[in-house]
Amino acid sequence: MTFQEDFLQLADHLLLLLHETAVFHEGTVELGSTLRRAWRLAAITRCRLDAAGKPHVLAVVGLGNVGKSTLVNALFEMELAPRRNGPCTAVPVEFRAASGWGLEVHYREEFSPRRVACKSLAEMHQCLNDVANDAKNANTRSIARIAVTLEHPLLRSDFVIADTPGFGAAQPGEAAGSHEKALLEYLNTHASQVFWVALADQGIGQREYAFYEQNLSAICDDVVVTGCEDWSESDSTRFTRRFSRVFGRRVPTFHFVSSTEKTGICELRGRIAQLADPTARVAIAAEALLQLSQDLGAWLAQYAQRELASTVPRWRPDSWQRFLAAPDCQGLRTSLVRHLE
Amino acid sequence: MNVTGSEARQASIARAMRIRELVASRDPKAAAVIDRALEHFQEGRFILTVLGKAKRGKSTLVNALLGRRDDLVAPIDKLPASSVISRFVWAEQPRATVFFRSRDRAAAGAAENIPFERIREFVTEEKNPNNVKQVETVEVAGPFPDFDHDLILVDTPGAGSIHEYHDALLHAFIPQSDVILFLVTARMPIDQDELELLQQVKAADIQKVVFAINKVDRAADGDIEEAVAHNRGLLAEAGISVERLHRISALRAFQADPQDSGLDDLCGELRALLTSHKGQLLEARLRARVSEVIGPVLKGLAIEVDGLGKTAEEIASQRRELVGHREKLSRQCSAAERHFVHRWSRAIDHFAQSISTAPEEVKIKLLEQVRGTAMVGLSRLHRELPSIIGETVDEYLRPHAQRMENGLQEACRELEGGYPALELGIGPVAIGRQHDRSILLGAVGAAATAAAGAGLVAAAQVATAASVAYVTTPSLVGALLTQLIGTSAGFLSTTSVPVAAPLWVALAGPIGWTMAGMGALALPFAWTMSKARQKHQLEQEVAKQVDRLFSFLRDERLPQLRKSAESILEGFRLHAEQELEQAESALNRLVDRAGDVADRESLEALLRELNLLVNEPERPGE
Repeated sequence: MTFQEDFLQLADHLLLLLHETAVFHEGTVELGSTLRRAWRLAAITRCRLDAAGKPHVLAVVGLGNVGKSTLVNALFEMELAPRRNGPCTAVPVEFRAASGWGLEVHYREEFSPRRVACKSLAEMHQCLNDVANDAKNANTRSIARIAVTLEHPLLRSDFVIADTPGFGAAQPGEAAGSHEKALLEYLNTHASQVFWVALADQGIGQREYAFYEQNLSAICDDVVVTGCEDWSESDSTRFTRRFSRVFGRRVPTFHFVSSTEKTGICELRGRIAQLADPTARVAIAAEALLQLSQDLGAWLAQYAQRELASTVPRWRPDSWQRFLAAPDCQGLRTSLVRHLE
Repeated sequence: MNVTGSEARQASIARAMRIRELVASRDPKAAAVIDRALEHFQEGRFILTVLGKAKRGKSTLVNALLGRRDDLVAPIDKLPASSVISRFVWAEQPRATVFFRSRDRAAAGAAENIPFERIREFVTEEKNPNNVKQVETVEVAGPFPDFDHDLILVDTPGAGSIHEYHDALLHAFIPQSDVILFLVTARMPIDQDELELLQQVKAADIQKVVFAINKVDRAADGDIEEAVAHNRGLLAEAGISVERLHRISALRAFQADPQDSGLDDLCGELRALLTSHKGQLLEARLRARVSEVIGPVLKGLAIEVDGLGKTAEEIASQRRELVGHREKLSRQCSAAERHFVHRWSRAIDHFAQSISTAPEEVKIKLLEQVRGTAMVGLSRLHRELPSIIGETVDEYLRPHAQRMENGLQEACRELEGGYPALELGIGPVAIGRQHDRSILLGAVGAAATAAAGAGLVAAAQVATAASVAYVTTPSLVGALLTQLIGTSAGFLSTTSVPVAAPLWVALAGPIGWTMAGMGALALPFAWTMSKARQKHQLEQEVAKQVDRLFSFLRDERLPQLRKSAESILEGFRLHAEQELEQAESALNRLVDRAGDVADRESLEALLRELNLLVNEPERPGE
């Protein structure tokens, strides 16, 4: 078994312990609800951990026209994604690692994609345009997603970056809402991690926040603020302070970039490289789980001192015993036990 | 900035001044009335509201329109800046007043005067996050260069931001505006949030929306074209007709680079709209008031001119006739007046009776809705409750209010038709009966006349514009509600509904009173309920608001409406009295100087000029 599999097993045991004890303490409102919350957070981390070992899709998501495609282009240092001033990207466009330029068009209700090999970036663009024009005709909705293959240091065989349609854009006519629908479908079926793109000039609005709450909170750790052309350090600090208060406890990291002046792009590539590495992803998840148990342990200790009679066990006794007997995973269990004891 | 067409209005003022000059020596009282009418005319304000999502450059534009070179009065920031609504008006002395919310205090909230340097402390998200200082609105007055003296410019916090109270503020303000200037940016084509905001503007029945695409200095030409195309398509689909999408750079204008800012064009359209709409109505009102007061003077003059050719005996007999008729007239009048008062009160009684069970019925309906909402839907319900309450009350009251308004109108018509007339044997002059309805109109400021041509809501606005500084009341019930709101919301507290308001309502006929009154209604609800998230709290709040609304209607507005019958009669009597007086003094003068030819010529010239001035065709385009 790999480290990741061992770790998953351990996380399952921890979830069980948290859940059973939460039920065990249900009568004590404060304790019960805190354990439940801890359980929910641990469950998210477990999902992350599970996803960490699998092929990873990093989706660039955001309100319409905040500069998602421009950001993707800046990251790859070439004009990959088409952009214009208006709702543009209609279906998710994936960028996959391969030895040469190419295009895969995935249709709905069709198991094999249409593959086109290209010789150059220019040819790929031409193909992309053709596909887009075709799509405008009869079977617009039948394309589920488009994959562009290329060689690029940011990409790995199991790591894909995807540009997605914007949400909240007002689209005329029959197409109304089609972008948002395509985005949600993709998020639910493919995305493992999200870069949430916001425009510096605009801040974060109600609609964006509601979308985050509903669809992104479990898979997003990063907010990329684009359009920071003339931003100073203090502007960024104020932005973070102003908008992180809507996130409650799980505040994502804010990255401030300018796609046109290439500021902050290097740092963002560093972050992507970290996410692209499965070992690093597992390590991040492990770190998160340890942090969670440490925080919970500290809280429990305080709570016990304050409220709990010495006769009442902190954990449900049989669950605790079972957790102690769980197979260890590179000393992680020992650390968890130490935190939670 | 000159957007209210104050130059064109100078002509109306000059005309009224000339009439005043001509009659001053003959009738000082009439001159005084014209003075007052002019004063009111000049007090008439236009409300221009700048609306848009967060970060569209609203405050920058406001600064540019004010001709400011700093952002002291309308602070600007890289992050969404404005957290409260600010109003800007012209005044000789700079003055900034912060009005605070009054939660429990009746009537107006507290107000504090501050120097411009401190405005930032109250209006920005940075210094006043989530409006913790409970600011309701800030009014800034100053000698802003080129700023119209009759304009109220309203800067609003951006809609759709994470600070949800912004929205409540905004929606309360939309219905009060004469013209809405909707700002989008070149960088962001219209999105869902903006479409929704526009729908609200549409729902508030504000026909006058001017669009501007801001920040064109920060977008490439191609990008602007794409945005324009996108926006046009969407607006057309949303059923919002827009002739022009102005391309502006508020920033350039603010940085004193007006040539490239596109602001001149924008101001041109604003001016056209403001003057063609409310400006015309204000003018119509001035005209009617002047005509009303000049009417008796003209009749007196006519009698005098006519009588100059008559013998002393003929004149003496006419004087006797006049005195005799005067007594007869007062007897007949009192019968017509009693009848009117009876009809008037009956209409109000019926209304009061028909809504006696209303509070309970409305409450039941609303509480059903609150109880039927799942816990997860509560925050949404909480948000929508003000408009739900508004709609429910509206729906319930509408038929009853319409019946009452019909009754009141009928009473007025009967009074008009049944008022005794007096025919003197002098020229073609009838005294007493008002065939041209000018008495009725006179009593109410002639708004009803204007209403026939220019939309009832606007007419109503004019009727109240003179006495109401910020809020215009579109209808009877709207007036009731505005008064109600006035007691709970500070910035509306300056509202005073003129006693004569019901008359023009009665004359203009039942009008769409839901249009603005209900929009404004959202205000106190949204605010007092901002903390009531729990279901039972919501229920209590709903019950409280409904009770308050109806008890206000019953205990304050209806008695006031009852009393206004007296002021209508007063108007009738006064006018008849004036005409008799004029006739009498004309006859008196005739006795003194019968047959004076030189005098006759100058009198005829005066009569001609006055007639010309009073009947002068209105300005083209009206």
